[in-house]
This record gives sequence, C-alpha cells and structure tokens, in this order.
Amino acid sequence: MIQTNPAPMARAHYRPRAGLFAAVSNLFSSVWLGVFWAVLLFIYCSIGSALPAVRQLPALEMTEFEWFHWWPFNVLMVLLCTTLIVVTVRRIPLRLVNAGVWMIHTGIITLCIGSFYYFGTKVEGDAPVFRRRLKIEMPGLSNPETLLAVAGNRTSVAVGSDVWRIEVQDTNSDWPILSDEHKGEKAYAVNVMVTPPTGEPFIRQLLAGYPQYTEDVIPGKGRAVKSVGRKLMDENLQLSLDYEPQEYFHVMDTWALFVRRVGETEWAQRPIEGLPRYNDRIGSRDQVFTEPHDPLPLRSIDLPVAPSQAGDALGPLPVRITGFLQYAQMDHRWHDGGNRVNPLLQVSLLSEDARAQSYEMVAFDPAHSQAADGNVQFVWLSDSSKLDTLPTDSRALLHIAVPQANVSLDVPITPQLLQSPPTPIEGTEFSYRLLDLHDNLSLPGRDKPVSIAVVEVQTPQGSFRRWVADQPEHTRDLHGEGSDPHAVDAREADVRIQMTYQPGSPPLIFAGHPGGLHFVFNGPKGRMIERDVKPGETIEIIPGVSVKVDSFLTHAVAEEKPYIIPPASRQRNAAESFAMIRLEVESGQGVQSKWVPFNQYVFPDAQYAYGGRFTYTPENFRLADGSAVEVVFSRQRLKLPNPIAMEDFELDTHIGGYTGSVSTIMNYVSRLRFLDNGKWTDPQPIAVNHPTEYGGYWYFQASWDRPPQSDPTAGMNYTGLGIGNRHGVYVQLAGCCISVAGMIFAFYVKPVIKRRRHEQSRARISQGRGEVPNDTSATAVAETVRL
Amino acid sequence: MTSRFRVRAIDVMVVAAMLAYGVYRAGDRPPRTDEGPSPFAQQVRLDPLYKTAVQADGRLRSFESHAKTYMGMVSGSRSIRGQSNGLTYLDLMFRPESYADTDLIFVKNKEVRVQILDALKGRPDIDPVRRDVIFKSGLFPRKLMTQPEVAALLQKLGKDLIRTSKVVDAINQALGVSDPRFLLENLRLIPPPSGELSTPWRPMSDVTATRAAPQDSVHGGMAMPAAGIPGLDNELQKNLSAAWSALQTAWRAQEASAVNDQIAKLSSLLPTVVPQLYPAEGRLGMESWYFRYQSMTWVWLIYLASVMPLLMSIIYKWDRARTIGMVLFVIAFSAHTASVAIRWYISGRWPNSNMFEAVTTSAWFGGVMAMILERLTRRTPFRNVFALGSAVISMAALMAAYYLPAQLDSAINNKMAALNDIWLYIHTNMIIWSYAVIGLACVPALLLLRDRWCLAWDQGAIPKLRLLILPVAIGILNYTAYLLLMHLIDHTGFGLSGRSLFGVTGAFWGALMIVLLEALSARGRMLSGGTVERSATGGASSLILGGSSGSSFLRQEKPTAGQVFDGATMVLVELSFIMLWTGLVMGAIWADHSWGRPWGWDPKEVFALNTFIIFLVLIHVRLKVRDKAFWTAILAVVGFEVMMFNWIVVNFVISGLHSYA
Repeated sequence: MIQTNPAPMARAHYRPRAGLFAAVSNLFSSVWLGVFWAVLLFIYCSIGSALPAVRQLPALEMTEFEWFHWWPFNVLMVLLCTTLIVVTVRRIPLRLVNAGVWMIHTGIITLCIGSFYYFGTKVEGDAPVFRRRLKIEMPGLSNPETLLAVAGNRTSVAVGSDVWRIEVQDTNSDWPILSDEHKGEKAYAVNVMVTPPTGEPFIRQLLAGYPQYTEDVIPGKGRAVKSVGRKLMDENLQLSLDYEPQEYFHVMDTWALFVRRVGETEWAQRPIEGLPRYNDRIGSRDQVFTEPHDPLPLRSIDLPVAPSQAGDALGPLPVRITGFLQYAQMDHRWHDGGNRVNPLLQVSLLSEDARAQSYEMVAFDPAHSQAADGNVQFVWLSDSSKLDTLPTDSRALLHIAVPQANVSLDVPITPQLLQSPPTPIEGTEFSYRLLDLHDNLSLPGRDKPVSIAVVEVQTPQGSFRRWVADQPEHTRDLHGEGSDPHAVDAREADVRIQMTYQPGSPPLIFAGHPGGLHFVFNGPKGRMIERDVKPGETIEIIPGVSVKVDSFLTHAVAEEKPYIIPPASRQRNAAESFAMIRLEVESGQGVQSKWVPFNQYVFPDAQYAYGGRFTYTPENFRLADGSAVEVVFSRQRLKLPNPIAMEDFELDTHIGGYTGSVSTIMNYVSRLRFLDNGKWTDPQPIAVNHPTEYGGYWYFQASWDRPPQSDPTAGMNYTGLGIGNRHGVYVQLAGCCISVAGMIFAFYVKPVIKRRRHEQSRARISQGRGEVPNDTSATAVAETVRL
Repeated sequence: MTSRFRVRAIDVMVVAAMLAYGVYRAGDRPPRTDEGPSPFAQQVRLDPLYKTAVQADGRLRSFESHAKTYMGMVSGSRSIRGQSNGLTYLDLMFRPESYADTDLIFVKNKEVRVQILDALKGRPDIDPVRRDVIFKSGLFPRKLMTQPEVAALLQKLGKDLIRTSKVVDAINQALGVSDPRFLLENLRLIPPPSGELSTPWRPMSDVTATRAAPQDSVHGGMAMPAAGIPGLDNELQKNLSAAWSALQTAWRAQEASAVNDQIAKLSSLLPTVVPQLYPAEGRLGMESWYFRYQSMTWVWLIYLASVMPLLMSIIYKWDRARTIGMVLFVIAFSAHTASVAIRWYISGRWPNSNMFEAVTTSAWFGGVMAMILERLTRRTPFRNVFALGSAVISMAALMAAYYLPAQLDSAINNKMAALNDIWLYIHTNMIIWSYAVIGLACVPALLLLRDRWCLAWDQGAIPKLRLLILPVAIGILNYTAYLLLMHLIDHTGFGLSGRSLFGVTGAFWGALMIVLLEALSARGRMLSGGTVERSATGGASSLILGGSSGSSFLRQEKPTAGQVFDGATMVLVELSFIMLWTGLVMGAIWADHSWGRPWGWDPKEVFALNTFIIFLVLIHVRLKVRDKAFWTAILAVVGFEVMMFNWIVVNFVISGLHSYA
C-alpha cells in the first residue's frame, strides 16, 4: 500500500549533520520548533491585542504599533523565518509535488521581508486642510491681510486712523447660485460682516470660484444693488477668497515641542523622544489636583528636549520635561487671602425632586456674576448702606411718561399683557399695546447687551411701533408696514410719549459687602425675603426649594493646577487629546515651570481652533531679555513635498439628506489641489475608499468638519486627511499571492498529480508484467511517486 | 444491530447539559403577566399601512420596519402588551398617557436594572413580585424612569464613561424615542413635492394646521411658520389632513372600525403624493412581512428538526433518518436562503453590514459550502457530515439572532460609507465564509472526539468514572476560561465580584488540573494505544485520491467513523485555511487603499490572524504526530473557539475598527 503520509519520506531526505553550525542547523530544521514559534506568536499577539494593560505598563509604555515592532517580536519573526527557510531547504525536496509547500513558505518569507521594509519605513500622519481664507486689500494697506474663512473669525484693518472691522459671519457649503448662466449650481459662500469707520455696517457675500458674484447686503435692507444701486458699498475694500494651503502633516504617535518668539509666525520644532504615553509622571502631589482617594503613584521624569533646527527661539537654554499627565485638564480652585477684593460666592440650589445644583459666582466678572439660568445673581457693594439700591421687584417693567399730561406710570409686564388689546393711557390720547420682548440682545459693535420691548403706540395721528430699549438712546420708532425694524423707516422716538423698558432682574440676589453677605428674594409679589446669611446656612425660598451658601470669599485667589480626571470619567477614544506636560525652562534668571496642554496640531494662530473643533493653547515663557517665547506641545510634523489646498468638499447623502446621523451619509469627497512647481494641479477627488497618491505620499479621507445639528449647511470648512507612505506593499502583496497559490496547489493540485502518477505507474507495471501489482510492485510505485 | 441505538453516557451528558442550560435561561424569562392585546388592538387592521413608506435614517422603509426600529430602541425588541410594533408605535403616539405605567423602557444591563430597582426601594408599587418581573424582563415603566431618585442615579451612572454611560445613553434614547412628539416628528410619511432625493420627507404634523405656538412672553411675538407643505396639491393636503385628524380622533376614542377606515384612506392617499419617489409596494409589503415574522430567524427550528435525523444517520447509520434529515436540511437551507434574499432585496445591498447580518449570512455561507460538498461527496462515506455541520451552525446562529435581539439587532440600516468598496465586500464575505467553514469543521471534530470517548469506554482502558469526569471538566474549563478572560479584559461590564471571582478561578484551575492529568495519563493508553486509528490521509486529498487510488480509505468497503470524521474535518480545515488567509490578504488590500495601512494591529485583525495561526499549527502538528485524527480534532475545536472569541469578545468587549464580523 502506498504511504501517502509525507513525513517518513521527508525524513528519508533529511539527514542530521554534525558540528556546531550543523547543530544549529539541525535545531532549526525541526518542524516542532516552527510550531513552537507559531504558538509563541499566538501568545504574543493575544497579549498585545486582548490585554492592552500589559503593553501600557509603566515599564513598557507602548502603543499597539510599538508592541508589534518591539525587538522580541522582531526576534520571534526572524526565528520563525529562519526555521521556515532551514526546514524548507533541508527537509522538503524541491519537486513538483512539493511546489505547494515551497510556494507557501516562500510567500510567507517574502511577506515578512516586505513587512520589515514596509513597517521600517512607514510614515503615517494626518493634517487638516482648510477650505478658504479671506484676503483683504485696500488702498493704503501695504500688505494684504488674511483671515481664515470660518464663522466667528474677526480682524481689524487700520489705514491711517480709520479702522475697518471685518468678521466672518457664517459660511454656507451649499449656496445655490441664482444668477444667469450659473443658475442651479452650488457654491461655498462666505458672508463677511464689515463695519466701516463711517456709515452703516454691511455684509459682503463671497462665493468661492465665482468672484464675479461678490456683492454686498445691508442688514434689513436687502441687496445693495437694490437699495443703493451698486453691488458694493465700498469699492475700495477688496475682499477675495484664497486657498489656505497646508504645508505640513503631523506624524501619529509622536511628541514634539514647537517654539517661537511671540509675534513671529514660524514654529521651530523640537522632537520629544522617550515621553511616556499611558502613565502619569509627576514629582509631587502638590503639582496637581486629584480626587482625595486617588492613590496616584509617584513616578518622576526629567527629560531634556533639545533643539533640532536653527532659529529656535529658546536656543541653548535648558528645556526639560518634568511631568506628564495622560488625561488632565487645567482647573482652578479658590482660597481666601488675596491682596485685593475679589468676591466669590458658591451656592447650591436644593429641591426635593431634583439633584442639588452647585454654582460659583464671581461678582467682578460680568460673565460669571449670574448663575442658574440667570435666576441667581451675586453683586458686591462697597458698603452695607448701599443695600437699598438692590432691586425690589424681579418683574420686568415698562415705564411710560407723557410729559404734556404729566402722566408717569410703571406697567409690570406679565404674560397676559403680551396678549391684551391696546390699553389707553388715562389722561392722554395715547394707547399702547405690548407686542414682544427681546432681552439681552448683543448688538454688533456694542459691548453692553440691549433689552428691547416692542410696543405698538396709537396716537391720534396714527399708530407706529416703538422698540423700547432699556438704554434710552437705543429706542426707535418704526413707521410703515411689517414687523421688521430694518425694512422700514426707523426714526428717533416721538418725544410726546416717553418709554423705558426695565427688563426683569434675577429673583435671588446675594449682595456681598465688607460686613458680610446679604440675601434678597424678589418673588412674583415683590420682595419676599431679605436677610443676612452666613456660609453653611440654608434658606428655604419657597416650600420645597432652598438655597445653601457653600462658601463666601471676599479676597478670593484662584489656584490653577491640572486636575487628573478619574479613569471612569475619561472618554475612551480620547487618545492623547487630554495629555499635558510640565515644562521647565531655565531662562538665565531662574527656572520657570508651566503645564503645557497637548494640541493635536500646531497652528499658526488661534483662528484655526475654530468652534472648539481643535485646541490651540500655547504657553508663554519669559526670557532674560524680557521677551516672551511661546511653546506648543504637539506631535512631530513633516513638511509635505507638495502643499495641499482644498477646492471643495462634498457630502453624498442617502434619501432624505443629511440629518446628523452617520447612516444618512453615503460618501465624503474632498477635491484637493497639489502645489507642484509653483502651480496648482487640477482638483483631485479623495473620497472614502478612494485615496490619491501624489509626490510619494498617499492621501486618504479621514475626518470632516461636521456641521452643527441646527444648520446642515454650516461646517465643512476643512477636511481631515490621512497621509502616509507605503513602501514595500507590493512585495507584501506578492508574498501573499504566492502563498495563496501554494495553498491551492498543496491542497488541491498535489493530490491530482499524485493520482495521475500513481495511475501511470500502475499502468506501466501492469503493462510490463501483465499482472496485477502485488506488494513488491507497490514499493516501486512508491518510488515513482516520490512524495 | 443492537449496538446501533445504544445510549451513550456522553450523549446523555451533553443533552443533559444543554437542557440544564435551556432551563437556566428560561428562568431568566419574565413570567407572563401581560393581559395581551386589548380588544381595540385586536380589531385594528394595520395591514394597509404595511405598504406605506417612511423616510428615516437615509432609507425609505415600510411602516412596520420603521416601527420595529424605533420600538427596538425603546423596548429592546420585546413585545409590549403582545402588540405588533406598528400598533405600539401608533398607540404610544396617540395615547401616550395610557403607557405611563406600562413596562416599556428596556434596560440591557442587569447590574443597572438592580441599581434602579434599589433606588426605587420603598415605593409601595415595587413589591418583590413586581421587582422580579421588572428585573427579568428588563422593562421599566416610563413613569418610574422619570422619578427623581432614578434620574439622579442615571445622572451618576452616566458619568462612568467606562462602564455605565452607554447603558444610560440607551435609556435616555429610549425615553426620547418613546416621547409622542418624537414619534410624530419622525413619522415622515409625505414625500417632498419637489421630488428631490436629498430633501427630507415631511411628517404628518406638517399638513395638519393646528400648530399654534404657546402664547406666552417667550413665544408671543414669534411669527408662526405657515401651516401645510408648500408645493403640495391643496386638495390632497386637505384630504391627508382630514384623514390624519380623523385617525387621531378615532384612535383616541378607541373606535376600531373608524381607525381602520382612516388607515385605509391614508395608505391609499400617500403613494399618490409624489408617485415617482414612492418605493414599490411589493418591496414595502415584503419588508413588513419580514419584520413581522422575526426576520425569519425561526428557521432555526427547521434546522433543529434536521439535526436530529442527521445525527441518527451519521452516528447510528440509520438510512431512513438520512433521507428525512437531508430533506429537512434542504428545506431549512432554502428558507434560510429566502431570508437572505429577502433581506438583500429590501435593503438594496448584500446583507453583510451589521452584526445580525454577519451572523446570519455567515451561517448561510456555511450552508452553501455544505450543499456544494454534499453534492461532491454524495457517493462517499462523507455524505451528510457537512449537512449536519451546517445544520448545527446555522441553527446556533439563527437561535442567537432569535433569542438575543438586543445584541443582534435585525433592523436594516444603510451601510457605512467606509464599507462601500468592492475589496471590502470580497474581504468581509470571504472572512465570514471562512468563519462558517471553521464552524462546520468543528462539528465532525467533536463527533470524532465523541467517537474516541466511546472507544475508550468500550475498551475499558480508562476507568469509567474518569471518563465521565473528563467531559465535565472540559466543559467547566471552557466556561471558566471564558469568564476569566472576560473579567481580565472587561472595560464595559461589571466584571466578576470578589467571591465569584474566587470560585471561578478555583473551578478553572481544578478543571485544568483534571484535564492535564487526564491528558498525561491517557497518552499511553487511549491516544496511542490499541484504540488509535491512523488516518493516513485526509482532507481534499482523500477525496481527490479516493476515486481510483488504492491509497485511500474511501476505497475501503467500510471506513471507520473516525476516519470519516477526520477526513471531513480536514476537508473543511483546508478550505477555511485558504479562505481565511485569502480573506485576511483581501482585508489588507482594502485597508491599504482605504486608509493607507494594510495591517494596523487592530484586535479584530490580530485575532483573525490568531485563528489562522491555530490552523497553521494544526497542519504542522498533523504532519508530525502519530495520532493525527485526535490532534486535528482538538486543534479544530480550539481554532473554532479562538474564532468565536474573535467574534463575540473582541466585537462586544474589545472595541476595534471593525464594527462587526
């Protein structure tokens, strides 16, 4: 019977040799050794993937990529390949029947070689490419100014003593063109609010790719071409849209410092090597805020960061990293005892059916002097005698005065009043009707918010609408149809009837004064509670709701330190986004230490961190000569061989359009141009699963500027690209193909060959001897087949 | 002949273990307390609505499918009051007040269920019986979920981003979705008159004119948007509005016949709004039918019915059972094929985009492979083994989909943009196909091990008590190893508590010791002693050589069961070996051109590679060991376990780039 098991035949071919080299060679020609390496590989892979805690140990601090390129892994692969080669050469005769196994082993070795090359030369990173920037030109302006075209960015342009204020009001990625031959096309629109030194503000609308359609719109009056008769309000002010080229990309899983003198534009890079990634390094607990029970193992670090390029603003000054936090945020906490008055109040609102809410208010900070949706206010009075000036009524009031008739009255504004018919003012021929209220409107160019009550005033001569402001100079009368104050003729207020609007005040007011803390509560029926309070006291405002004073500091000083976020509260996919380092700079006049938070990218300035999508938080260090140097902690960056500009970005959607859910998106398409020899190439589309190669790097669609839920046409002001090289990928592919072919051969072709040979030799034997083969002939068959 | 139907201790043990598990799981099911659908619910005919399209999440789906998706978010695919999803949807929307005390909001995590119930302790309506019902069903009444103590607890749990925030997000989503305003706003039934594809459809509330804003100080002066849908024919708009208002009124009054009239009217009006945008009636009807019948996951019952006779025919060589088993298997596979085809038709894409589809389609691929192999081996002793393997795997997959709707959500969604690629298509299908084949290979491998066990029992080489303990120890070893692994890598659940961790660890080491000792002591006798059958060749070569070569056992009159099982295992292992490797390579090709990295050491990739390494070890070990069949079977089972680890643990616990499969 024919022995189809290849092992004994292989053994026949294989003969152990003597000598040292031979001993090693013998060892490596063991199939069991190969199996052993495979099992080790299995264990190594399992640990690296299923138990990330192992590679993240303080002693290792490895990313997945680093774990799988650590020397033990490389050694294991080399041993595996060596065994594979020795076994193949020494044990498997190179014959047609064995072509399969030879091909598989050759393929695997080719794949390994390709992978060593591939991973050894791998550069992988990412970069955001913004869509457009605004170029501002004007006679008298020596250099054009630029402004990144994202909503909210603003700048001032001064020519002589005249100052233009220019702000990007919004962008629209899906603006339909209505004019003549381009009707029906969609463009990227940028609306810019321009406040000229004289005259009224206007909005200039710019369409990317269609400079001929640039035109001005006057708020409330419509297109300038209609109301003024010309397209542009100010022909001298030239605004245009330019590409915003990206010249760099950041390399993933790296660290670097970027340094420049304040005022300069170019960053100098200092790569950081050897900084941990998963475990905090701090010298003492005092440097951070933590949860009290946090065990916080103390491990110190002292890592010098050397300059790598000329023009580094810190030059030869010693710069070192003395702390690393993986996930922390700067936090401030208050304590009393400062030199100047800085009143601070912390209160909690408690109710029976909800959680206690704590609030912190700083009397001198307008943005933080109110809390709980404007229901609580904290004010500071220089002495207790001024307590009388506190409002006694939290309701909104409308003061009406008719000097001729000597009438003056305060009308409390109630919801009923808003629906009631016109009310005659007794003793006069006027009547009024309250139409609407707008509290705390921010007006362009004015610091203080304005509150407006819209009142319809009926006079014997007819009726008009009056926008009654809390600051009398903003009160206007509107004549004509419609409710839009801008579409109609707005005049100075009719002096025969005077009105002032007093918006409501917070019902709960805490008034601090040098002698203590006073509390008033103005309810629906005027002053309800009025008393002094001490920290720790709880006051019941209405049944079931009370307010507790947690602390009251008159000379509060903020202490700012990083707060280590407890692991349970960390976002799982945050990676290094919340990392920070403690940087120590020896400037010659002492040592300065500061915590520098991580920034995903090093941007030229804060404009790019728009809408909270990115962070831009440089820290300043003072030098001995008094100048300041700013430092950003980010990732290493490389210069792109060809700067990239984004022509446009398109979102392909499923039926019903984009709703905010990813499942409605079919594809993301960025069209990019590359700068080659000073010229932009034609736009090249890059979509998901559709990368483009240019100048040795591959560009991939990686992330996008998701529009806010409220406005699906906003956003899409930049595209996130993945950038990387891929040397050796075809070697890897060749290896894979060879091995697949080998597997098919070994499993399905080899038995066919064996069967044919067997049949042939059988036939030959039968022919030669004219008889059915017996046992001796079977040996001959076996020799013919030669597995 | 008498030995044919001998009852084997190992079979009894396996069946007993399965029954015990079934009883244990059944204990988790809540006692039936539901009064069942109300008379109104029974009289209402929603059938006309089943051919009505709703636009949501970038798809046009049938109303029933829409209701299933949203009610799935609310109650985790559990039926409310025995009603259909569509009926619950409309009832929740029209009569929300009647659901305040109904068990409705599904909480997936059992630990969180306990915490919520603890927070509600002391309420008179939560007695131990009620507590048990809520705990087992996981469904909480809306009213309870909005209690301050529960709200405070959820707020606290929501801050634990590692363990509970996802559960809280799901609860908040359930509360948001079950809000009648949400249900109304998202019932987008009216196509845009513009006929544009990218324009959202409009909800019914847009045609009904009563959209007055509250007249208070905030809203008083607001200009109200004009009622109605611009561009829509006035007459049609009026009819739609009238029908909808009448439906609402009749529903609130619980007048079933009036409701049925209005439903019929609405569903005949809606397709006429913009006929060219409206999907085919047949597709919508099919989609509704598909979801009304549990996405055809009940096919597992037919597979189960085919497993028994197939086992009979293979183990006991009973020819009549063979025919019955094969007929049942073909019926089951046809139904399975129909379910895949229907899903393909209604979703407009090959069903391989989420966990449910990956599991069911993978099992179907296994069926395809079994059908091909059955055809090729129809005259060999291999016949029926592949069908049995496929029946077992498909049954398990469809059972999982049937009993775990919260984990394997059968709702149809658009596939992610990143999945839209031909290489990825080939890659994912190749991988799940190879996984199915790995599953198939596990079945004859287990049969072989069972066969060995019976041989050892008959020969008495090993004391019977020890033979009885061995499978129990192996079972415990597997289960505790799984628990411990989950505990070690768990980021999302609560892990094992101190005492049970102690117990599980003890059981694990105990079982491991028994298995190791048994393996060592059995080596000399059971494995290489008199019972050993040498399988000189196996796999495809045995088939290919078998035809005329004298070398193969296939030529022998009566190959032993062990030889058949070993050969079948190897046929499948070889196939899966090539398919898995090819699938991995194709994945790398896709990854390279999709995000510039052929291999990213993502856990999913690594464990697919790990599975491949096991089979690589298998092939080389087979080359070297004396008892090839035994070690092949062991490693085929280990490979299957690694594959399942990849599928279950890596998918649900270790998150990676791959969202499924």
